Amino acid sequence: MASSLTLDHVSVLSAADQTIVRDVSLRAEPGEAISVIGRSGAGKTTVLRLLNGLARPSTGSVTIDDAPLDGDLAVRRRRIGTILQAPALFPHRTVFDNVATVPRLLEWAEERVRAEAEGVMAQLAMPLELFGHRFPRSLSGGEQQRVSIARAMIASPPLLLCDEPFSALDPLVRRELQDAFVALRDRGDVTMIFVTHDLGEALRVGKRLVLMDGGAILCDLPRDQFLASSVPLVRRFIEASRLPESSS
Amino acid sequence: MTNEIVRATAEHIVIVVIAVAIAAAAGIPIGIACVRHPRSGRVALRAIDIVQTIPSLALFGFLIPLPLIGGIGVRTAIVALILYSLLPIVRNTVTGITGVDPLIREAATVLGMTERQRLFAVELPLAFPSIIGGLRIATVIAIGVATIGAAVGGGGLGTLIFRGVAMVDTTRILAGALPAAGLAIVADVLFGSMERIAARRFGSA
Repeated sequence: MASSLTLDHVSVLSAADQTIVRDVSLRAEPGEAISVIGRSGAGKTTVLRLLNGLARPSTGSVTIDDAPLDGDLAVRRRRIGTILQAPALFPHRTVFDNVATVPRLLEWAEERVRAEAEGVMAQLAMPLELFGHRFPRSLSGGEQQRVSIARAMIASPPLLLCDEPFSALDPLVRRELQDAFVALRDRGDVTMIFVTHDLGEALRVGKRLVLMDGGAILCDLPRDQFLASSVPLVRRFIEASRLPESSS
Repeated sequence: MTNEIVRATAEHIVIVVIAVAIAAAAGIPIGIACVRHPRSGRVALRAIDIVQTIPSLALFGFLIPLPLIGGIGVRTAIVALILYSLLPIVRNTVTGITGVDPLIREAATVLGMTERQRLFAVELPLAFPSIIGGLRIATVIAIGVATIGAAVGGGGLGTLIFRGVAMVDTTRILAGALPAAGLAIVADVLFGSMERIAARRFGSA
């Protein structure tokens, strides 16, 4: 069962008392795929960090599956898949041991860990028998990010948080990974919040788009309505994503 | 003479190994504690730092009058060596752990590791090359200070050197000095290669 989540009038102040997130309210129903888009510094990443407990609300509340996000956060995070901008693989562990991190925290039987790792790695076109014993430093950037996706998704978390996971990759690898990621995501029953500053990517992976600016939500619309929105910043994002007209 | 050199060298090695082993057993946990409690950690590091600045002969002088640990003999020498070895071990443990890429630490956290699991599964393994580096410095320092320990009855190669000086016997001095220098170089090379192997195995990137 995919997670639901609610941010209820959440604000976050920095240590210097600056507002990073301003009165944000967001509700995701189970199974929703939401892309959060905005410029750098718009507060997108902080919204994700509120959802995995790395940031705490100064005011307002965060609930996942109708339970406030507190208590034993480590245990709750094992049911939340987070994919960071950088692969951040454990350099001293093999690819298999990296992918096996969450299952081992959940104390799965080793045969099950291996079977699930094989499945998830096959979906990402990185057969475990070829890559499992290798160390992260011997992989390309794209391969490392695949492993980090596998590591986040192996235990089929009901909630998936993605923080610009493909922004460091070249456009071709990026496209390939977006497709692999979407296929993998749709295999399970999952609610997703996907942060990106790339409109094309946001439209490809999300069915609902949330635009943030200056720490607040400017608009929150289904994909097709978003494209028709007259909000100036939406228009500017659409304009900026357009390919130049051919001159011939 | 040869027998004497072999015995003194063996004695020297035993003193250093005991001292560095105890310093490591205390210093690595102290380093971990310093990272977990940064404020008291800074105070602890400062205190250990001060001990390090005391000249070795003076430190022996301070230790001798102390009950239980002091007095003339090998025990005092070992205590002094432990105190000297502590700083590089604690400091390198701290730099090793705090030097772990924050993103990797964050990855461990978001995957659901507790602080303890993160420490043992991620931070300590990645700090390992730095900790070995601390042991290397500690051992080389201990080998040097142990020669002075002979002045308070600590035994080891320093005994030969001091006796040689007293007898104005260059051969005897060298019989102590050369093996002591050799030990330091061997320890440095040995730990240095361990450090490199560890860095290759546990290193980032």
